[in-house]
Amino acid sequence: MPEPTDDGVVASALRDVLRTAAATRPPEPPADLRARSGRRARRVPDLKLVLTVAAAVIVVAVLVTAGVVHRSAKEPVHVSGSGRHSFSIRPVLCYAAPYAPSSAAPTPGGLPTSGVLPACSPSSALTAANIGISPDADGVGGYTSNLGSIVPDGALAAYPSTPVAQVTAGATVLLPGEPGAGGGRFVLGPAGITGADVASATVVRQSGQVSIDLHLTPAGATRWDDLARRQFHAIVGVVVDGRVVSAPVTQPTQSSFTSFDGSLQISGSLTAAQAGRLASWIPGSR
Amino acid sequence: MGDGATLEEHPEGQREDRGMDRRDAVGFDAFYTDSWGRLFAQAYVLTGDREAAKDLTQEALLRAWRRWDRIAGYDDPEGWTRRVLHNLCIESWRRATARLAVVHLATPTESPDIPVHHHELAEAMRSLPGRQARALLLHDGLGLTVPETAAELDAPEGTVRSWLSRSRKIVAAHIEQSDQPPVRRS
Repeated sequence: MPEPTDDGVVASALRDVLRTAAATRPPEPPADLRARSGRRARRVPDLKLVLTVAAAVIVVAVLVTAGVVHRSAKEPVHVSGSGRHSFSIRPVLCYAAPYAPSSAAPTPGGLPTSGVLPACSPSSALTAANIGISPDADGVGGYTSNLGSIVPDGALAAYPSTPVAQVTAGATVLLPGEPGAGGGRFVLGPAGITGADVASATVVRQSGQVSIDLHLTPAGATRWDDLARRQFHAIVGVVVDGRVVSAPVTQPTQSSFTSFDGSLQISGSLTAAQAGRLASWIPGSR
Repeated sequence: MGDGATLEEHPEGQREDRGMDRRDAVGFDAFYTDSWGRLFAQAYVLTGDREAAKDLTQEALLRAWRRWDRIAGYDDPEGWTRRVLHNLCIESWRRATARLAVVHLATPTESPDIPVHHHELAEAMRSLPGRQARALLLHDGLGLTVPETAAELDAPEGTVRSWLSRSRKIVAAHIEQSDQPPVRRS
């Protein structure tokens, strides 16, 4: 176990990071920041940045009080959607190693086809049993788990990510993750819900935070609860246009599953513009 | 990927601070330029996420500017901003609770500008209760004394000492588990 000399290690590690990071340049001159005073809306970044930032912060809120999703005290900002983007939430089956055809596992008979993926290896499978969530008030975010010791499935390095056109609701797919979802690649099962299950997507501002409230159709609510219950203490992936933008654990602070009653919330440090754009990608939004 | 959607402007977006403004913009700009890197670095240690850290730093500085007529007169405007920033960072943990479970599975090589051990340190910090992480950052990272740290966190000094001791062990154990060196050897 660590000895008392650890304090020197920690302090020097902290100072090293602080020193390195302090060389980062501000994203804008101070005058631009001052110009935004009085406004809460932030500068709208370009789409790529929006994707990256939004993905980095988006979370399907897995509320301790699931089923009692709180309503906003502030007026919602309604968004209009184009309906041209694909949206689904799927079970995450395992993490996959980066695509590396040259160092791929042997595949007799030639290259693997993207349409047929092998099952995740037992040790890499992100089953609730492997993840081993334990609600624990002293743990990160109120729980502890074995997630840190589950490694991506190396055999999947031989398989390219599924082309967006083949990301159909019923397919098991291999998709890249945005940084906010942990980066890397994910194997995801058939969609539990898709944009067609969303009755409305509303961007809500509350206490300076922006989130997206999803209200599901009655059939969608049932399907979402089915997925969330099946993935209780396991991971679901939010997929937008063939990329995993968020991959949260389902209700990790609870000891048993509770229904979402057709409401879930995608929240994080979103700006209104980011949230609006993301919500607009959801075909059911209006 | 197209952008075929529109977002109705929030009414708040229409408002603008105009009229009499006695705030010292030149002084604020100097403060911003001088303190930005240090504040960002602290947000980065607490969040492990460069984009989130930038956003939170901007938010804290925006709040400072909104009150700049008063804060400019404080002995330590950066200390005020730091407290706001640290609180924003800890709040962001709670919002990102579910994400944290998977964030440490990221492939660090996909962010070539960020050394691997930085991710690991930030991860270890997030494994601490919020005030304990702040205590460690203030004392071990920024070099505040125990009484100063205790004052900033509004906690008894004895409590801060035990937080520091416990937090160091947790963070050190986390760093030791990794294959990467905790401190860059140059």
